[in-house]
Amino acid sequence: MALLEIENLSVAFPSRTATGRAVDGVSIAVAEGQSLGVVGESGSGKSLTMLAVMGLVPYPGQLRVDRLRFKDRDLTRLSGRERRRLAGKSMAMIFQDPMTSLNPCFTVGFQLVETLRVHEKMDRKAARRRAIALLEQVGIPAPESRMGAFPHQLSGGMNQRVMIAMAIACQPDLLIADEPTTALDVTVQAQILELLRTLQRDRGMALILVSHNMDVVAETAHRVAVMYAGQIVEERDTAGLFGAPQHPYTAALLTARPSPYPPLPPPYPPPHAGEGRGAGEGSGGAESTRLATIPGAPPGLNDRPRGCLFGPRCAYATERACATQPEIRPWMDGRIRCHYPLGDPGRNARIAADGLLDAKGAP
Amino acid sequence: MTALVVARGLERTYEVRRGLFKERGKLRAVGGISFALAAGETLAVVGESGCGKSTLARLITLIEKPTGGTLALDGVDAINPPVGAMRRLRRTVQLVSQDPYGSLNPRKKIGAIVEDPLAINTKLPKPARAGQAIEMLVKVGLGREHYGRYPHMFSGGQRQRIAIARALILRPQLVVADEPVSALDVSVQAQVLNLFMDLQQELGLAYLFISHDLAVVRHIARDVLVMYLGLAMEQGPKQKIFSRPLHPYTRALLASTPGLGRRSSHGVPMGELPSPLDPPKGCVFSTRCPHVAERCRVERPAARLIDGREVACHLAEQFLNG
Repeated sequence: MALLEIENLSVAFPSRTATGRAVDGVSIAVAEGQSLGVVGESGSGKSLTMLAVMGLVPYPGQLRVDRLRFKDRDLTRLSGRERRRLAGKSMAMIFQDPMTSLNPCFTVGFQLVETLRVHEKMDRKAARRRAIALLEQVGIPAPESRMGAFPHQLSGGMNQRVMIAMAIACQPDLLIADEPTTALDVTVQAQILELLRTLQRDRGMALILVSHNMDVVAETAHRVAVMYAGQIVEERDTAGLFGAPQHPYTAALLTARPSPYPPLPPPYPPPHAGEGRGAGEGSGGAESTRLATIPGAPPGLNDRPRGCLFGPRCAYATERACATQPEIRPWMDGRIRCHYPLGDPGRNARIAADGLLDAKGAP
Repeated sequence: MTALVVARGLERTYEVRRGLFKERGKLRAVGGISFALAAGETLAVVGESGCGKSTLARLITLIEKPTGGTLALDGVDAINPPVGAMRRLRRTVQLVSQDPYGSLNPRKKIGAIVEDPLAINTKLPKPARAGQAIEMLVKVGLGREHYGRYPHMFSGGQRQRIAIARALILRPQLVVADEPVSALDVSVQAQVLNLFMDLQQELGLAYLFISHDLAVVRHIARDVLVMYLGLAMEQGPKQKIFSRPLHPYTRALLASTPGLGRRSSHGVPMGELPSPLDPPKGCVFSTRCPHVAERCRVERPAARLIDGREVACHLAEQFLNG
């Protein structure tokens, strides 16, 4: 039984001329104690999906979902009051920018104690004791003296620790971390990720980690979902996805990233020669000068292409791919949304049969 | 042959008010940085926020005057330049900044933005300026049709291309790029990094490339300068530094950079950057260093040449074997 089940979730933003779907048919299941990474570029809908789970879709966004269940309760049927009781307690969320998510007018101690008093109905003294214990647990030195500090007196890393302390205050079953380390320096990022991993392991808490950074997700999550233009394009086991990506977009993202370590040989041959300037692999050494790039840019909310959303930028796009959108389907140890997954033995024949289009340049 | 940029003991301190009756504090943002950068090469400056990398960029681009040390650009003293030379010096150095949304005036068209340096620094007539601007736009991968558009019509990656075009229009010899790709998505980041490398080959540019992202640095740099609290911890050729880092801080940065299965959780430093107003006595990294010894807390290590790079650590030798 999954802890969180989402089926066919869409968030649309209607405008006078069109209705852009920022999240488009996303299905996710997270089991108890599991950690799921959600990666994608900006505008891919990853944060919005998580806001939808928390019931925080901003106006005028319209939420449509076939099924949204948490701990076997239908979230769509809950009243606002019941939903609020759940959010912040059984499911909690950490936001990207700790400086703006904390209230600058109150001390961090006050904000932490408030959470405990509202959700756990603790008395003042017990809440304070617990708050200090929590601050200590997230690695804040001298927690008692920090209780009286305002957010501006703490560094970004410290504030993020306070946010995490608040989020885990009520022992949530699910923690959603939306880009928790993007605003932080690498050494502090490493500390925060380590903290999240430990908490997740020790408490058996489920964790959804949203990030644009593939490497951060790779070392934290059990499973990874890759989002593009509001859709999940591939969702698989972490080692499988990073070792042998199946969707052309995932593969391209992985090669576009310069690595701090000697690169591994690509598991599949680089895109066909017509791709031109991209694909600088082959040399195998650290000195390959060009990075593989994805031509063009992700489509905007109101100019989604017909057919496969990645089609116009894909090295393998065929007429069929550009005409009909692939459905998401089970593949290997997960799911994929592609007509021609990279690990499909018959894909070359089928691409040839469907007629490979010439690689298109950037719009 | 002299290098294009020669910096010796470059320093910049700021006076900071701490309170009404307290003595003013001295904040040493850059505390004595030396390097030489030859034409056509890339020096990357890495470090966490607050380590002084951006101040260094402001010193090199002649936006601010250093409070100590010497700086020579193209063989000319850039701190007290000969009469009339400042104008020419400023043309040899250009800046590409981090935020492509903040660095372009939203009320100006792209053409005007890219032409502005020409209008200020040359006597070229308008049509000639426009011609050069279009040529430069094409060079950075945009089209002539973009000339009359406004910045809001462009994506982050395209805006960064515009900023690069503006920096290059005066044909500088040195481009100081302050975190030019950290605001961009991965796929766009790769495009802009490739553009930087192509332009370097084509125009023989030297880059001072400032970044906190070790993966990007490893890709683009020839030499690396690792800064911490305004001081150089380790500097030298990138192969040396990435294959066998000798300073505990460099090692910590590498250990903290995420990557599948490569991370050992030890080696990640504890705590956070100490206040630059009150830096530790002795080695500045001693408060976070996992290998700290008694000597480190009292005596500040000088940079020493070990294994082809300069390291400022008393204990550097112990890392020579892995």
